[in-house]
Amino acid sequence: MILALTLAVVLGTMAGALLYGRRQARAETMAEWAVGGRRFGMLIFWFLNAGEIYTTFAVLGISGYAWAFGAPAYLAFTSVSLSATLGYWLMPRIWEAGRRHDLVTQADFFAAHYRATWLGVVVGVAGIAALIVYVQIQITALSLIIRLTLGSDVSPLIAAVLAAIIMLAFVYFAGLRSAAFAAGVKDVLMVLIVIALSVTVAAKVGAASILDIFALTEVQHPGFGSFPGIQPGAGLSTTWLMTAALNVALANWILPHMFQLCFAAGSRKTIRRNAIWQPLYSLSYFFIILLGLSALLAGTQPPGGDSNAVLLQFVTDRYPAWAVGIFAGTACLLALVPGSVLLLTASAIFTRNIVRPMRPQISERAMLLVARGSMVAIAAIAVWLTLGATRSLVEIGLSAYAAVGMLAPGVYLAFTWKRAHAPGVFIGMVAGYAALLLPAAQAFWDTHFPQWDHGLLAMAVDAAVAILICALWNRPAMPSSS
Amino acid sequence: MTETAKIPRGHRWLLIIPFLWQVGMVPFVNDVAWRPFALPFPMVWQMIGILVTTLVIAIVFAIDERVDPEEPDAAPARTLH
Repeated sequence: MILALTLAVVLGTMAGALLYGRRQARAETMAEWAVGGRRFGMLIFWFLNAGEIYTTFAVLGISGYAWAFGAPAYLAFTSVSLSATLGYWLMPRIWEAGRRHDLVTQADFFAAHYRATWLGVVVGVAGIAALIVYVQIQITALSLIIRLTLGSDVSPLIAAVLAAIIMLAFVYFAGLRSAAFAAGVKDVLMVLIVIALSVTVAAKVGAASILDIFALTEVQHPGFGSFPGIQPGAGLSTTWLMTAALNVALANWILPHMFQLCFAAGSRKTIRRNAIWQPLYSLSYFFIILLGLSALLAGTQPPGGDSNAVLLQFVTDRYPAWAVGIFAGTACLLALVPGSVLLLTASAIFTRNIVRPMRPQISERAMLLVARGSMVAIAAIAVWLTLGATRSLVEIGLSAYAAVGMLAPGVYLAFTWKRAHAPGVFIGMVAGYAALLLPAAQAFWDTHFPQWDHGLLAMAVDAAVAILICALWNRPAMPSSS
Repeated sequence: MTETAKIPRGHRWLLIIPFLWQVGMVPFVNDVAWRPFALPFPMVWQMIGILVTTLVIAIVFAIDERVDPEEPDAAPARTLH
């Protein structure tokens, strides 16, 4: 029953997406395939954006965080609204640059703006690395659902490989347009599921009402709703929330797939109007936190204590099989929609910004083949990363933001400072990655900036070094700058 | 460039408000014991912050549309496709 319904939801959406993608247009060139032909209207653009927001990070990760830590789950409330606020200023600039230079990827932007193909290659590699970490989130979640529906005798390796195969199958047929369709389906299903669970959950855990769940949690875990939450030893203090929230906002549009999303918008007005409604979506994280706390009250124990599996486990324990099936199918879409966009973005970067500079004569058709082949490799690396990981989806997500945050100073400087140049931005990036990854640097941050988000600190180092180099080393002004 | 020096952009500073509300105020609202509707105050604060953000962006958008409306013909004319 669970398996049949899960399959029905996923396969039904895939079939719909396929028909929709075919009817719209046959993807023939790289540009068409990767940015959907630059003709997205308001509605599709909005759904696509929402698909990015309703990720496994938000639904499975945040409910798990509420269950394990309490207040630190509020990170979800800050992420969308602050990103939208910054995006209101930033996205039209990226969109404008994309249109002016006919850009497809983020690495294109660096190469075009800083007039340095080599910087495009470097940014391409860094972007792909961050995307792989992000794909890891989706594969982790899909594996959980596969093991829930097929039984836990499926090994983690088989589950992860299956997850990757489903994701590849999902994206191969029609590119971005199929993701837009599936995002629409997923949003509707997700809203229905969240409403249905929230209406019924109080009775399932012996509370009088939704609000009573918060009152009961306060009785069982006094102070859960203030920082540092249920586990003070975890170091998730107000300082952590402030720095992590800032880092997520600053790095959000720098994620290569989000950056590329700006190019797909139809107009500046579309982007800006979209920013108004984006934050309201995130109010529904209230219900995600509610469900996480309900699982806490119900004494839900996910297999292996894995907080990512809390919501799935809670629904499995307390709800009928048909409800579990629909939820599991929707959770699959939740991972597949962003997963397919991520794979598509990473492969576009690989072909355009790494293969093309090395093999300039390559034809559009050969390029499309390389693009599709590279996705298999990228998914395989993500599968391999998934196997060793037992971290919370929120932590994996924060490390993806931290990794991509090293590209942020190069983007913000491009729009604010004409003197910024490629070598300065590059040296800043190197300093930033050192500050993020070197064990000595991490020990330094832990001693002198306890509970600060390392990504934000490393981004500050990156920006400071880049600004210093560009200020000291004056290169001839560029003829045209964004 | 669509934005030139003569277009007033001072109202864009309003976009700082969501950051002050949702990041800057975090330490100051964390220990408020009042629990409206049994909800933890820091949580209510963040949720109101989302409404404030939407309002702020809507106001900035309205002003932007008045001072610098996008010409409908500008978009296709400059596209390379």
